[in-house]
Amino acid sequence: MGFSLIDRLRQTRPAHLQFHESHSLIESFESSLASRLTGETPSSLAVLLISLDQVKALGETLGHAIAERVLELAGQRLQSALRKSDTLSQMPDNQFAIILNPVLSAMDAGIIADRLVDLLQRAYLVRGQVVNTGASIGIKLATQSDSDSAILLKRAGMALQCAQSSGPGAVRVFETSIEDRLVARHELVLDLHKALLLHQFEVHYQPQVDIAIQYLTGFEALLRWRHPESGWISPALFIPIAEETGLIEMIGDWVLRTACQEAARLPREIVMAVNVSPLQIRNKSFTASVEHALSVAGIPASRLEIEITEGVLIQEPTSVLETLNDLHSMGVRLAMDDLGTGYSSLGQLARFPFDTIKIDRSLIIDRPTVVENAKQRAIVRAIATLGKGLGMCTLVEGIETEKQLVDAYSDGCISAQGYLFGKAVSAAQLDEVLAAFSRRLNIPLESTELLESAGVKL
Amino acid sequence: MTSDLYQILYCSRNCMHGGTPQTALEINNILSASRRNNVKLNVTGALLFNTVFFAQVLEGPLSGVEKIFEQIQRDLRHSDLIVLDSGVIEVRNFPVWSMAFAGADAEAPDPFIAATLNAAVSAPSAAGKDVLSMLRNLVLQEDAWALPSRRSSAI
Repeated sequence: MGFSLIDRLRQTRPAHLQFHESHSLIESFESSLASRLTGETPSSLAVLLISLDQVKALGETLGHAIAERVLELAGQRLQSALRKSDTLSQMPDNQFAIILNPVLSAMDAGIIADRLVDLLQRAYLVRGQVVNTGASIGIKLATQSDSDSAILLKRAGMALQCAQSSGPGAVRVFETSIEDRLVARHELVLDLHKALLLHQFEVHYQPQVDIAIQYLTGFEALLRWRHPESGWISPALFIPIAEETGLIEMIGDWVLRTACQEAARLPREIVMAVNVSPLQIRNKSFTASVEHALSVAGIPASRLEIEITEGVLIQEPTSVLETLNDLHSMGVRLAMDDLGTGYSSLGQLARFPFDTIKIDRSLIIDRPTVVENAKQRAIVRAIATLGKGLGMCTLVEGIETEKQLVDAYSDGCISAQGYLFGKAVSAAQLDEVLAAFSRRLNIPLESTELLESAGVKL
Repeated sequence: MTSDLYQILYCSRNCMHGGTPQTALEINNILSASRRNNVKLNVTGALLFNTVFFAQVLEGPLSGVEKIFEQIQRDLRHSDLIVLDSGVIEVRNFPVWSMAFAGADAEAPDPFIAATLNAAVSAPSAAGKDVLSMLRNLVLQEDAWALPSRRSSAI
């Protein structure tokens, strides 16, 4: 055993040579795995792929010499915990691969992997500095049908990806569902790249009403994706991917322009609310994009409401504050979306120039018991009071029944949105919605309130 | 002039199962093994233990401390190690090996353990006593150590 390889890597060398070395590390592991597969019963063998997750960042902070020493110590720790019959190999990108042989079951391999994670995550003392690194492990058990060492390693890698996404110290055993999910995701990413160009996105519009006067006051623009083969794809599925890939900036800009253009066709009192991703708002040119969208559509800034989630404020408060202030002074309305789902720092509400607070649907849905409902309403009431004090409109989302509306109204909420008033519709259906809202809604708002104040138990 | 002496303080969770006599025996083994190894590297220090935790101070030249610390890290008889302090020191707090029992009932430790380990105990210096009492106070926060281990489990 020995890590002379690390010594070799210590010397700086051209990128193409490093690539060559990475490639040969993988190749030599695969060939040693291949020889094991032919030699013995493959079912008693497991491939572990181990990643030291913070070593790269460590190198950037404390220097590469320290990072490499950690890698070296990590290799020695692994070696010290393995049996003579197991094989340890160094892999590129701060990874190690192990052939466990023999191994009886996935549980067995899992127990060993847990022990290795524990060892690797213990502090390292290097040149007088105490350093820590996280470790994740993906496991692929060889079955009778596994004869391809490259596929085994690839699947261990998939299990590793899955482990890494569930936080430091995780161990995952490969299952076909992991591969299915990763392949499906990969295809979704490819399709998402093309979707904007191929006009597969649509903006749908959900009505927002003023509860007291019971008239339509605005629409929330919602992004929809009609996939050519899979049909409508849930935003919950593709928006996170669009965020991760950065595609959301382009898509979000398109939504902004489309929604503004649609707003130009609507009556002048209707406000268009558009969701904006953290990536968009952090972009220095976001204010300019908004100005552009407004001027192309020819609508005043006051008809646009930008919705952001509170997460944005927590991550980068100062630069975001600047952008929000710019938008606000332009006359654009600002809404804090999903209040009640995240950390809900109330202090943020006072610091940022919001016009609207959107109370998340999770605070509206009916709870199983009277007590739970009462507690939930107390929170809604508190937010509504807060909104009033800060001069902000409170809008409740997810209103599905008249009862929920009546409750929200008596709790002090100003506006509402939800299936009670209609789902999001395509641009083509907007005229129908406008027609339906041409008169007052006439939902009785006082009934239960009166009964309750009269002491009648509902 | 900076000193060549380096000190590291840590706590960890005892993973040894089995009864008290077994634990006492193991700890005795640990001690005699560390004495043997540490003398060669000119490293001294102190070990505190009870049935739940270990707390240790290592002192000596950096290379020696690093080597021993790494050996200790590879030992699966303990886990959840937390480094409390580390850095250069001017003089040793523990010129000779010391150890102490730091159970909740420190005045009346398990008689078997006490008897087995009595011979190993050396009186630490005044500064060493301060470090030991600091460690003891820390590890006596038994509520903190009673929390579930941080180790992850296989799916």
